[in-house]
Amino acid sequence: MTGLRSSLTIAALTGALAAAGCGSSGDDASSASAGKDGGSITVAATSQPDALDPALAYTAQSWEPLWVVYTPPLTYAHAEGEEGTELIPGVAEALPEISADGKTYTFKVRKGLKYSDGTPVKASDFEHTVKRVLNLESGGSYLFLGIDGAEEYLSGGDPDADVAGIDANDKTGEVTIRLLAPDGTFSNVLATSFAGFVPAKTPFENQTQNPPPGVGPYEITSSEPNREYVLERVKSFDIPGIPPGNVDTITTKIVKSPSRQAQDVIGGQLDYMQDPPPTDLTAEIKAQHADRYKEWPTLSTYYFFLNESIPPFDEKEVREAVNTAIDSNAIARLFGGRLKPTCSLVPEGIPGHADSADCPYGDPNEPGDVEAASKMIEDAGAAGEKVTVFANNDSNREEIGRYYTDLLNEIGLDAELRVIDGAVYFQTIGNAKTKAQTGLAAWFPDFAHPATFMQQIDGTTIQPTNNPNPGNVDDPEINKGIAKLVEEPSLPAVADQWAGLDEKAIEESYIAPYGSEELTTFMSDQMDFESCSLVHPLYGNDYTSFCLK
Amino acid sequence: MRAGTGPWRLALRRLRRDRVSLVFGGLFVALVVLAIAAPLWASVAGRGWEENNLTGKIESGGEQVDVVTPEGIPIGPQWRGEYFLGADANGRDVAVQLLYAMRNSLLIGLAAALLTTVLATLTGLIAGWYRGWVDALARSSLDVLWAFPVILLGVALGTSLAIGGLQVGPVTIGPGSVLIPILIIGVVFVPYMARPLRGRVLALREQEFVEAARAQGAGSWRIMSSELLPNIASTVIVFAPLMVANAIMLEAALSFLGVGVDPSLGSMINEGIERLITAPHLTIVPGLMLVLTVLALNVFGDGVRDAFDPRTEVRVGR
Repeated sequence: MTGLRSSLTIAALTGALAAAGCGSSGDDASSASAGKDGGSITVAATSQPDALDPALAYTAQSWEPLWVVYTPPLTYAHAEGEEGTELIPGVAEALPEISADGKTYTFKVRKGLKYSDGTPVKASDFEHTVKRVLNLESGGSYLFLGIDGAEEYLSGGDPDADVAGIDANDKTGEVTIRLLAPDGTFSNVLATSFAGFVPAKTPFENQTQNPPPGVGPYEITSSEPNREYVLERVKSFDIPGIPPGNVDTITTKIVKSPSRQAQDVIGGQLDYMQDPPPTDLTAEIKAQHADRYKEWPTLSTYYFFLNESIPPFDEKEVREAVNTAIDSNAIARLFGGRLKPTCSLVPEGIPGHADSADCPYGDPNEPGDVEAASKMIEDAGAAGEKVTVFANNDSNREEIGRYYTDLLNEIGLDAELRVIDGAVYFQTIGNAKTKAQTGLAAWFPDFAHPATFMQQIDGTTIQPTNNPNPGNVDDPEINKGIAKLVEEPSLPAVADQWAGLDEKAIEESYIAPYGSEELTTFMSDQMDFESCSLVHPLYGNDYTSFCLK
Repeated sequence: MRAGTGPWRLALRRLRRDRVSLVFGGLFVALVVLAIAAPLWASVAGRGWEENNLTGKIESGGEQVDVVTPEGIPIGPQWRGEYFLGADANGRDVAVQLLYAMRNSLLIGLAAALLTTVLATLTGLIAGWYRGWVDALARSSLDVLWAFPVILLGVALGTSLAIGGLQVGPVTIGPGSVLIPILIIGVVFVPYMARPLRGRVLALREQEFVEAARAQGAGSWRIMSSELLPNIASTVIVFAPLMVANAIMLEAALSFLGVGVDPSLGSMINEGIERLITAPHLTIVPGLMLVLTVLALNVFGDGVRDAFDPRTEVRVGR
């Protein structure tokens, strides 16, 4: 997985674990909202989504709307918290049958299903959908490389060639996928946005300007890049478990200034803003518009990577000193208070999360122990060692880098900050030639599975460029554990073992986690915020829940 | 018979009479003194410019208040030693940071202007004196440099050097070093000064005193250093304060765009923009300091120009 790219761009997988209100039970999709039916709303996005094509979209800005336009074979329950991480059938009739060896997945396409333009959905469309992801060299192509024949398809260069490991029978609607090796995460892969069904006639090129029809409660009826795109309700849509939506039209406008967006939401010219309001206006919004604003935790982990392959972080004691000194609450102020302190790699809300009561370096809600950390640095003989801290210039990252650099200096190291442009940050720290000692990292998962987090401490993922494991963590016990657990198809059965690996990584101080980011929902006064603002743990604000008063 | 007053003495006398220029010249000197005194103020404030204080509290209006609130809003000016001009998002003392930023801005501005002056004078002298292919080569190089928008060129160079620094033979300049903006700014402004100097040398080389020197057997370098250089010195002096002002502005612009040094007036303004409503001091204070510095240099520079070369009108930039 191109993990660090994900962490850069995939705020896509933001999640809500404990958001208030909204009246969702999670069990019954229709209960997600009970507001007025119909009407039009306007949404603000800070920038044009990376793509309005399910094969290529790989950011929060695009996954949030595309989730209600392109339904994959499986999808997630339209519910908040952990219930929202439950896999449910989407275009498939039921969850896939998995062979005893864990290498073959079989599902059937629902009968009578049609795309938004009326074209019948066929089983063979799935192969075309996967071929587009591979052929367009999408960021999500790595997810499908475990399918038998996918590598050959990719290297063959013929878009119309067959992917040997996918058999589709249009008469029965059956799709069989053969994997090269057992992969317990593959059901989740079948629920990613990349697997969203598109018709077999969809060209092998970016369709952002003319998005293809999909199977979903909404369709994209117009797209003017960098200006606006429009989602309209598909009245004929009917898949059990997926809500049909309330508002008829959702127009998303690109408004570069978050400040203007917030002002317009306050004034009612906009109904919802995708990004959080600027820190400057948050206090005012919380004070005066608390009835239509909420903050919710995401399935994210923010941490400092500690490169254990080069000094001084090759010494466990130095890594422990960093973990001991960190003050998550101090960093939370750089997030405008929207950071939940944590001490584990797998965040709360994902099965396999280690209980924070077991934090070996103290309660993450309490200040760090700088004095003890200084002593540890001295005992390790690392006092005065030069350290370069890497940070990028994205929102608040430079400030976090400054805090971290100052902290390292305070505990006795000789640290200096190096700020890299956000566009090349992960490539830079993921390049072995950079020899990045430590710096900022964050992870938003592609799907709700601990495996996606663990690749950052999986020694087998280390590579000279685009390294998803910038700390070069290479612990044989952890590597072996990940390899074994990832084959297990039932996540609940091995969740404790995943948590054990997480605990081991933290005990060894391979990384220094400090929190999970909280995101926001802020709506206009005309929206029924109380009943219609469901936040999904992976896809953020659920557009099918939106409704007017 | 009384000896005639020399041009330098005459210029200084004219400058002394220009009170406005002198006041602004004095203001610039005061700003330089303030910047030099940065460590002194840091000791008064009780913290260095890099020192974060995110969860600390200070006494304000008789009660303990957060330096940075849990919502991330920094405290405003306290008008006393500690947090005289308030705190930034990291809880750093803005006044201390401002003085260190001034040091960087002035150091970079002065050094870059010096580098520009040296390079431009050499280029102007050599191109104007030798003419022919030497002049053609120099002129085309200056044209190429001139053709690039200064900010774009600065950003491009700054970004590419930010990761690996600069290595020329045995000399290595680390990323984040003040030498990088000095080199970038010093080089990109060369055409602005070298072109008029070259024109002046082209005119001077045809004058009788140069022909006389040549007739006496003086070589090219001797003529350039003894005859031409003193005659273009007044132009160089007229340019100097304006070059410093422009270098400071460019440095601030580059830092504003994230490719300069830290702390810098530009980076402080950039950081403050996100908190313009709740903490306007973060933008206003460095902005005012930048305006004051550049204004002081420009007005003083105008005075120097009027004093040394009252007939010409020097403008730097496009």
